[in-house]
Amino acid sequence: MIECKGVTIGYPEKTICKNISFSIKKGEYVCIVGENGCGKSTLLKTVLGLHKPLKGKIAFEKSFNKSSIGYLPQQTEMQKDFPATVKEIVLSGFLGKKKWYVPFYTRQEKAKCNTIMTELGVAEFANKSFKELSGGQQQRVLLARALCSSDELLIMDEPTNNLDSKSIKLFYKLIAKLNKENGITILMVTHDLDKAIKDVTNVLYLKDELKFAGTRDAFCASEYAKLFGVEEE
Amino acid sequence: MKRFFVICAFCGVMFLSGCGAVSVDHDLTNKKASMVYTIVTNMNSSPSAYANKSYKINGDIEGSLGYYSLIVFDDTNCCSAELALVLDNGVTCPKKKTNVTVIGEYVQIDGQYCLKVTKIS
Amino acid sequence: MNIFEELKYYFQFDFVKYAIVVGILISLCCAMLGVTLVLKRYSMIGDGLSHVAFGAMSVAMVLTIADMYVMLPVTIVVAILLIRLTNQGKVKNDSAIAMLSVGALAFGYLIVNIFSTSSNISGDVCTTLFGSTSILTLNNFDLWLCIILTIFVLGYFIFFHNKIFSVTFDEGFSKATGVKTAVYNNIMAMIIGVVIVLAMKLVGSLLISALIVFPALSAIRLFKSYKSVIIFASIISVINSIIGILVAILWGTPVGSTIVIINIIAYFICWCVEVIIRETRKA
Repeated sequence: MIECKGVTIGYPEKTICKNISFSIKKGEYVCIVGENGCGKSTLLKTVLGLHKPLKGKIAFEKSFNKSSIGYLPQQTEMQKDFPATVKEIVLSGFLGKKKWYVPFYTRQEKAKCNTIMTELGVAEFANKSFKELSGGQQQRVLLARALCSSDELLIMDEPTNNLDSKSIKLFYKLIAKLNKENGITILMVTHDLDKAIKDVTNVLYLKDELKFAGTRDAFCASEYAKLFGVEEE
Repeated sequence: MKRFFVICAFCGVMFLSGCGAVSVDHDLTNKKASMVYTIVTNMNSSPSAYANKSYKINGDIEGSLGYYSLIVFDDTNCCSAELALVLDNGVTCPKKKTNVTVIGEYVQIDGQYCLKVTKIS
Repeated sequence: MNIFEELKYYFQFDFVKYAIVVGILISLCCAMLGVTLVLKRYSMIGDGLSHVAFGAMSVAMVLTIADMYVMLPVTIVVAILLIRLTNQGKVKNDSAIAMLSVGALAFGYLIVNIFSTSSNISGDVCTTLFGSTSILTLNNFDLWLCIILTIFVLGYFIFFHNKIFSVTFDEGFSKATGVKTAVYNNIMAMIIGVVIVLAMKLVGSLLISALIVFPALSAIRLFKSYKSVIIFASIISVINSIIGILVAILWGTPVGSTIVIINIIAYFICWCVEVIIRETRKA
């Protein structure tokens, strides 16, 4: 689905990570791990087209529609105070696919939005203000927005930052369900690999370059596993 | 007899007060200076909308030898607008040129709009 | 003469009717733009641009050409540059804007003093900076330009309401999911330039920020959804401007400052209402 060949990421003044080559197949649940500053977020943004790679190429499967990507970015300070209802935020997930001359949401889009919100358990907050929700609820709202944008690929950047451990568990359970039952491909940057590990299918480890790219089991058996608390028993 | 004199006196007073109070279409003497300034500015930029009506305005007179203009200031005294004046027959420019009241009709004379002044006080 | 009779007297003049109509349109534009600028923390850009517009107007005054011909292109170009540089992180918001702001103001005042042939320079400058009577002395060209431009701006805000929301709330998400954020940012920059130039006619260059910031802040205090914030900001902005113009007409106060003071009072009232609602909800 996504093919990454010899990619170097970073900024014009500074290379962060080089020689990244991997491919992601449909239905996989891929985690990107590494220390702070090793370029995980930058890699995600490069895959999404928000950054240009310094070298190399990122290609999507031909049949894949690039506007059908679900993205769950890290929350900014500004969003925590933004006056917006949950429904307004979730509906905005459809905008990437709409033509510019169709500015208003159709009935189908509103119905799909309701379905997704119900599935994620945030339908009861539809008309509540986003800033009044708890961290876990907010992340589910943003996840609903990402799902409105795509039901094939979900790209997430440290989605469990600022969540308490109970919310983290619930969140990973939700992601696992979306991956297994709905067949959504997941690409996620995470700091708590140990909490998600049992449903993950592939792991990418970045440190100046791509140090590991392989299956979950291979990662747990490798020398890096203990850095993340996922050694095999 | 007495009643006749009272009625005469009454009529006389009415007549005289009527003489003093000339009725104009626009009496700008009791309006705020900024609005007078605004109205005069608009009179200069779109004169046709204001033409053929009579006005009573307070201001300072400038000019001499038949070419006069009335200067009005806004409330802050920083902006001023100028209204071209033409004195009607029999009207002369007073010695004291500041804070005068002019009454006249805004008309077009020789292609130019100006206030044809019928009374200055 | 009581207030209603006085107002009735003034309303027979066309310039008063035009002032109210244009005032309403400009306030609507400022309110809608203000919500976006306040939420994106770009309010200082509006302030800086208004000083640039003053500098451009000074150039127009010196060259004795209609001010719109210089102000609109210059302000739009600077707006696009500023927004682009800020988005790319190449420019630290506050210091660069501060430099541009005072530079343009000083440049404008200097050239007006050296080169202008007008008889009353302080008066012209004062009117441009503080908007004492400019909305009441619009010429035909300014009037129609204001009306046409504001209708376009309002149309854009209404038609693209959802896209503007998405780009403002989360530009990264919007861009990643296929929204052409660069186009919307450039259009927004152009609109900022246009609205700033038009608002100068209403409240003067130094006070434009108030028209942009206060209605948005008042609305954000009271309302939770983006749509209701935009609607309420528009309504309160229009009401404030109408009251401001009428008060200025009746009591001879400068229009710009009057409108700003009324905006401040309205913001204070909204704040009190918010506190009252919060306390009664707790109880």
